[in-house]
Amino acid sequence: MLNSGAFKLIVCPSVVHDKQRDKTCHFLGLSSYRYWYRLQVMLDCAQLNRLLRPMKYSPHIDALIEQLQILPGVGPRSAQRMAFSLLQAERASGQKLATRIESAMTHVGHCSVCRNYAEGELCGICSNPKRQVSEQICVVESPADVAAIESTAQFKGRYFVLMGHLSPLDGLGPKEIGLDKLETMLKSQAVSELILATNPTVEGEATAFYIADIAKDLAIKVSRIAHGVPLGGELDSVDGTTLSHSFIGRQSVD
Amino acid sequence: MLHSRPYRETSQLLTVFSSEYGKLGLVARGSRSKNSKLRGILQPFVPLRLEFRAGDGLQNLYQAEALEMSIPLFKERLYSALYLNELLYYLLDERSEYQAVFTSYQNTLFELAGQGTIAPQLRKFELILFSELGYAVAPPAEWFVEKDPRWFSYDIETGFYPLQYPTKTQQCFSQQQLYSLANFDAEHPQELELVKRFCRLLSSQLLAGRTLKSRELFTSRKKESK
Repeated sequence: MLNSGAFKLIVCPSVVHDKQRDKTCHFLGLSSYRYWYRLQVMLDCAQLNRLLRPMKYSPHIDALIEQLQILPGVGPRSAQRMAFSLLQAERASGQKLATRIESAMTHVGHCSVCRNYAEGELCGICSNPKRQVSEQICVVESPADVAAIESTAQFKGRYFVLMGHLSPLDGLGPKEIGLDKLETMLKSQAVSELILATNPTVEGEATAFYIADIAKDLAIKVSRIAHGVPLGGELDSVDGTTLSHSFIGRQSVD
Repeated sequence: MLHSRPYRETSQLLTVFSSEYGKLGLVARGSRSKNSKLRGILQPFVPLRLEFRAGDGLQNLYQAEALEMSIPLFKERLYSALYLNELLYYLLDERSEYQAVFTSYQNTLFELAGQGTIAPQLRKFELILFSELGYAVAPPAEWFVEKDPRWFSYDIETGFYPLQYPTKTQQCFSQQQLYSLANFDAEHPQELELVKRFCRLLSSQLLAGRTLKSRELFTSRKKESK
């Protein structure tokens, strides 16, 4: 189901009782405005699931299946498979998994410098002395982006992880993505270049402009990663917006 | 498109603003998958032609086609456009037609993409939006003739109402100011400021305590540059 916490759902009564429709009932429930005046309830995902799928097994198993569905790509069906496989054959591993999850949830915090995930004050990259020498800082939206850039082995500087992008409609302003922290970091440290590697979406662009503005005030060189045609691709299969971007950002060949 | 949020692994829930159907929710299935061509065009500020089944509530999006390239917006202009989206997202009712607002939205975006100053465009849009939402942005004409109540305030329920004494400056408008509100001239900086104050008052009442995050983008930058 949706990841966003509580949202308004308008559930059509006939669909709630319809156990035959497995997944589509979320949509039908959401979309049925016809009965909105009769039944208007605030439900979160778990409540909706409970409503749509009354208890099947014992409470513990049901709770486990429900909880497994918080993972991306896991629906009720695969959650049930996972739960049964843990209970049947992998009891010991299941225990281990539980303790691992618990320790990770309690011990992993955010790096005090770059906001990436870290198990102490500093993350691996920020505490690396070779990296500390570098005066380049790359701004990315998520820890997954750090991993992606690291795998290219192109960049030897440090990162700053926003953990999101500016998105007013999601309630994410400059403070929520830690831009005040970035600013103090830029003020207090020697930075030769700020590389903006936010996603090429409208929100990512807005974030990039905003950060560029901050850096401009501090007279720091700012660059934006290039957008364009993927390597090994064909021009005619690239969408127009990407192609126009690659035209705007073309480079002269010497 | 006004807003999207991820849904399941590869899909998106979109909130779009259309000329025919007003604001509505759509489900774009598979639009976040790696090979989806929709990824590039399902962005705010891209004029789109959308195909979906007409009906109640959330519908599946069948086809989307960009009519033009995305409107090029940078810096403050982009923030302003995000502000427009936020206003529309919160203030419009689902599935009612707002032809005039749509046209004005489109025009404002194009104007923002141009070279002109931002503020007049935003104010014009706000006034059109509020009047289309059914709130009287112009006071009744006979008020200008009457001499007695010289001060007015505004409430979304009742519209303009006279005040005995001038009160807090933010919510109080003099007769003279009302007159300039009614005959708003975008070139005049003082009048712009006035309309801004009026729109602020209206939108804060309409939003009922919700703050607009896109406004932060402006204000926090201004503070820093000071």
